[in-house]
Amino acid sequence: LGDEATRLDDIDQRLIDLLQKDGRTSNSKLAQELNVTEATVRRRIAHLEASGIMRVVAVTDTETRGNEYFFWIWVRVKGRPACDVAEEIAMIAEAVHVSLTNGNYDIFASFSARDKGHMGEILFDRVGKVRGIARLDTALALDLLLSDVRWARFTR
Amino acid sequence: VSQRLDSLDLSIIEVLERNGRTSNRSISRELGVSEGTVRSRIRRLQEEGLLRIIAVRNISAGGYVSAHLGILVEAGRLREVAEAVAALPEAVFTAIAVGHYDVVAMLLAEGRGAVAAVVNDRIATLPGVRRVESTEAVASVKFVPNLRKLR
Repeated sequence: LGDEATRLDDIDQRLIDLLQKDGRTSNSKLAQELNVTEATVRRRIAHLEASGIMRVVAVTDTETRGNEYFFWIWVRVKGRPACDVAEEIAMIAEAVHVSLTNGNYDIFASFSARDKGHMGEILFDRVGKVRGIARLDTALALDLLLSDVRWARFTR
Repeated sequence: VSQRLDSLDLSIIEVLERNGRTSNRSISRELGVSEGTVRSRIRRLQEEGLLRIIAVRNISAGGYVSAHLGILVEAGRLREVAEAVAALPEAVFTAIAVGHYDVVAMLLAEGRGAVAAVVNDRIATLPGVRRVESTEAVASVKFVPNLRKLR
């Protein structure tokens, strides 16, 4: 995405702020708060969504899905493009977050799992079978202090 | 699946995962239940802290840089350090961990220099921090929006 498409003006920014408090605020209430017309609100939301900047979605608590375990892997890749390895890891349904990184590691990923057995299955049967992983470091979350709901990745 | 959610709850959530602004009326038509049922289900899930419907920003749009941090901490100062990191405005994720690192965090800032500055000036200098390993994300491959710790 170019800068042009993603630059937000003051109204966009305030609109996003309001929708980050409550994504189901009505267009008429948003229009009132922003002192613009409902048509403007509708058009702005459609534009922010169509350009891939923002999306209004349901976020559920991890425990409602019975996912009590959260863990990370840091991967060093050898003999295969890191982006291919990352794409393959991202295909694992339990992967929450996968990034290509700079520095000591090539890939960072996080996963949620139901229990210890499920975690082992993801680590050994799924991640462990991806070709090109030269080194894998892991950590398990004991206590999540902050898990910001306002950011994610999506494609248009 | 937790006992807290029945299949109607899950169906409503599924519709709202696609578009959180879908009207109660349209959800009720799609699922064949009354509008009042949809409204009360959503309200209950929100009140119990199991569901939030909010605007989510795309991490891959707008010039933001994210960094994944692994922090090693002196014994006995774990929570203190984790809480200080979680309180930073640039922190979007912080957890106490067991394994390769003691605290795992993710930062988000505008521009590459900004992330490095937070790591060097505000995290590496925290009392109790032995070592900070920071890797900047070159590209985000996947980051699902629909699952977070809400409570």
